[in-house]
Amino acid sequence: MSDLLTVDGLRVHFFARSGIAPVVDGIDFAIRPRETLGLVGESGSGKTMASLAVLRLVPPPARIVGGSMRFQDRDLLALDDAAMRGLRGKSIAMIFQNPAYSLNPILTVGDQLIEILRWHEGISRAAARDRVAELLRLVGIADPLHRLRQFPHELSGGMKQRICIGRALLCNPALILADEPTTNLDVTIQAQILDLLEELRERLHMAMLLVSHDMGLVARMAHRITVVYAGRTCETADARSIFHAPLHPYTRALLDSAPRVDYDYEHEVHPVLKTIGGRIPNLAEPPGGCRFHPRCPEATAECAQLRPEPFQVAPGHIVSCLKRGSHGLPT
Amino acid sequence: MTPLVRVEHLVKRYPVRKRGILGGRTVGQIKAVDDVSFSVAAGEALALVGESGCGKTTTARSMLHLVAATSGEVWFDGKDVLSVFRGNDRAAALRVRRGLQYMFQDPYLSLNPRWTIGQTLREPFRVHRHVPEADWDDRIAALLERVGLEPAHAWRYPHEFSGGQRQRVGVARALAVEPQFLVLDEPVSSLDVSVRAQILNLLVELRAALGLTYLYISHDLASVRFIAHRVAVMYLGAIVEMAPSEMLFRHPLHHYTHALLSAVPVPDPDARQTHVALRGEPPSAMNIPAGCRFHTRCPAALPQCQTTPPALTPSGAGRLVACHNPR
Amino acid sequence: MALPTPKQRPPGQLQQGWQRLRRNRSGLLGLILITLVVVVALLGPWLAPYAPDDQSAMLGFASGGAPSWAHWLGTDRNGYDVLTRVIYGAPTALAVGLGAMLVAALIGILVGGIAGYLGGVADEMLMRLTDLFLVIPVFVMILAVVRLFGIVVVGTWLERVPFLNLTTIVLLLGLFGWPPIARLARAEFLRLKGMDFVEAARCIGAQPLDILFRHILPNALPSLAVVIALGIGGAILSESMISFLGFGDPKAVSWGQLLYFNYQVLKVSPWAVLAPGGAIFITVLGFNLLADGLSDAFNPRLKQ
Repeated sequence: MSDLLTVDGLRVHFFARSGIAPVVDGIDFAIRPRETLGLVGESGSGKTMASLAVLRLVPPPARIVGGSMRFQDRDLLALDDAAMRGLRGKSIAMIFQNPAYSLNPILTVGDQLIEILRWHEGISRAAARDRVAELLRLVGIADPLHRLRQFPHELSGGMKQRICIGRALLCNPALILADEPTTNLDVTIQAQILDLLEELRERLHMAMLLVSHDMGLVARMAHRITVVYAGRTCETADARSIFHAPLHPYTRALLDSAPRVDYDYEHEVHPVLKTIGGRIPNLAEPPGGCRFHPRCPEATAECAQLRPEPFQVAPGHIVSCLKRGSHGLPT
Repeated sequence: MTPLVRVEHLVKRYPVRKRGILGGRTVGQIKAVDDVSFSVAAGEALALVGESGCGKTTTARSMLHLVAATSGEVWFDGKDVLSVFRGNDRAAALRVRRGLQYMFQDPYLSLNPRWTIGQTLREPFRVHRHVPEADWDDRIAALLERVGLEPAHAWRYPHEFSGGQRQRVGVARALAVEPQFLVLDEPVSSLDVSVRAQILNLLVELRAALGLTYLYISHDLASVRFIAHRVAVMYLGAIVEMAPSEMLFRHPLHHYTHALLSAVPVPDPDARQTHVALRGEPPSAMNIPAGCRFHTRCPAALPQCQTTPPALTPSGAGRLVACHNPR
Repeated sequence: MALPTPKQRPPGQLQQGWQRLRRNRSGLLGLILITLVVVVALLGPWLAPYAPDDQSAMLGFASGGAPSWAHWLGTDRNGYDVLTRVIYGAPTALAVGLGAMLVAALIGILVGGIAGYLGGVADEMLMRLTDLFLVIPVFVMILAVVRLFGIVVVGTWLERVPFLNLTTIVLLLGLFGWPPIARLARAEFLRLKGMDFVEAARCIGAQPLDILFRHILPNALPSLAVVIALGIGGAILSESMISFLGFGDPKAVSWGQLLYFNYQVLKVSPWAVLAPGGAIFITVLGFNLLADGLSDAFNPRLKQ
């Protein structure tokens, strides 16, 4: 089955007055139809930028400078503005991190959603309103007609996010980009929203790119996972391999350093978490060679000189690490 | 064992006012903290957990009089610190301030951006003068090293540091007055995953080395399990369950605790991630449900839960739970 | 072991702001213009070719004369050398701008700061007071007071006080110009009061006055500086208008006053009007551009 979305060697540069920061410098991932791909990384990893790049919504002064993106066999970078606009919201939709900021505060919920539907499909207002009401019911909002007349500030965080999910689903997209969709929500509400996303994805046969820093979230929702660090892909594999047999030192470190709610720490006299020394690099002056080498417990001299290329260790498992078999390119 | 800090019947209510031309009138009340009592033993780490609006942060802030409590007492070192803070004896208030300190959540807002780190760390010494001025520089250097920074960092400004480093400065500032009790208000929530572990390790190590007592506020249950000896779960302004950490995590008695724990995603794709679905939305803090405050969402509610509020009652081995129908 | 001093002190907030200002072109231009005016004001007596009250041109029927080698900007209808009068107008303008804003800033920061920090009833009362002052028509008020003062002062000892009229104008501009500063000060104090680092100071045990002066005020100053810079330009403009209407201080040399003397002969001696007009324009523009630059310098739009 061919991929729905393929991103290869994506590069996005940030053009500031003081210099150029390569915030995304080689991110690859692929999503198959009806699959959820988790894009995992910390701040500065470039994961949000990569998801915005798919929709060509990278905010200036950042710009896509290289790589290729193919969606349903169309070259996304070659499309003109009008074609891209037709794609956004219709074939690829996005759910943002903070529902309070992504809904227009001066329009009622109904007005915002109806506007989108009418823009893409040109149907009458009454027909659009019925579709929107149906959609709100689908995302678990009781009494949708009443909600349609309300303003975003009158709704709770969980409800706003449901509406944002509904907004993404309006035109039955093939792919949903969800950027940290539950970060600002309480844990119990988060569980409900994740249930909803999973159920809808199944029911409507959609694929999903789930961008997150939360390994637990990704373990629950994703079939395959791509780990990114400082603008480059480290490792891609199916979920079980990532969690039970991680190969890249960063993936390992990420998994080891997080406290776990299912682990009994009381048996340890002095509990200690395994940490990764150092900190995330300043992307305006990234380290040479492998970007993780300053913090990597296995780094050797060549890691500072050569940039690791993606290497397929097993079917479906790709790692970029000189110590795992990657070929290195001098930087 | 005598507790180091004892909170008794703490209440914080916020009036909700409608605005008029001059002032306004009160139309309702938000009971942010609704009669909370607990104690913390010396050397222990007690966690206050709950979701947004449960009152954990307000409780902590009220304890140190950063927010004026409506009523209640906080006993430390033989005195009710709230009445000390409200009183006129500045020397007594300063003594209390030395004993109880606070570490803030947001690394970007908790340091004065126009002060160097050194100036920020000098302030506690300047206010309390518990150390002769000639020694201040030495103490500041020692503090910085204790939290994993370098003495030379004292000349730099907050914006030159990462979030994790700023949190270290926050710890150093709190430790400058040599406190016994430290409130940690979501100290790692704003930090990156790889940095959280560093700060959590530091906090655990400091507690052991300096004999500190912690009140750890968080919504992140994984870090709570790592750092806390005992856990108190709050919902809509009240404690619904309190137990030693391992007992709570292995077998929660209150249905809200159970729902909360089951909702935390586990980083293991093979784990069964079924969570207890709670009905409806959390009620507004202005309209706390009658009877048990959780009954509107509880999957195991009994008829009496709608009428009689359950008291926080002992339930074996140092556990307390407020439920008519515990698990 | 004392804190080791680094070999090179890293830049502080002020220096950082200065560096950013340097890179901001409009801010830099504003600073250059203002420096020009200040230099002219300070070196006036040495730069000016004639004394400011020298009306000798009249004697030779050269008043209203076009620019020539003897008079670089010509002469005005009263025989004054225009260049000299423009040069001597600079210190007046600066005194007005800075003086008025000093008064306005002191009152505004006091009122707004107390309102923002204390909140409650004090806040309500002070804000109503601010609203009251905003409602008063400043300009008309100043004209009325100046005229009244002029009448009242005649025959008393006050008449001999140098530049009394000008001082009155400066004071009045300040006394009526504080509301916008108060509004901003209140907003800033309110915002800063709730910040964690202020709470932390309270937690350490710092006293309210300490917190106000060491924590809150220094962080409020950048935004206030912008409004004050704009206010200086506004005050200079107001004084020019007051003098242009004839209510200015006859003993002081001011650009507005030059306009007042010469606007009737605009067609005949345009330089006598254009020169002071241009001076006003450059000065006010300078302060406005500086305000722009300060605003950018202290609130950088691009975060790394």
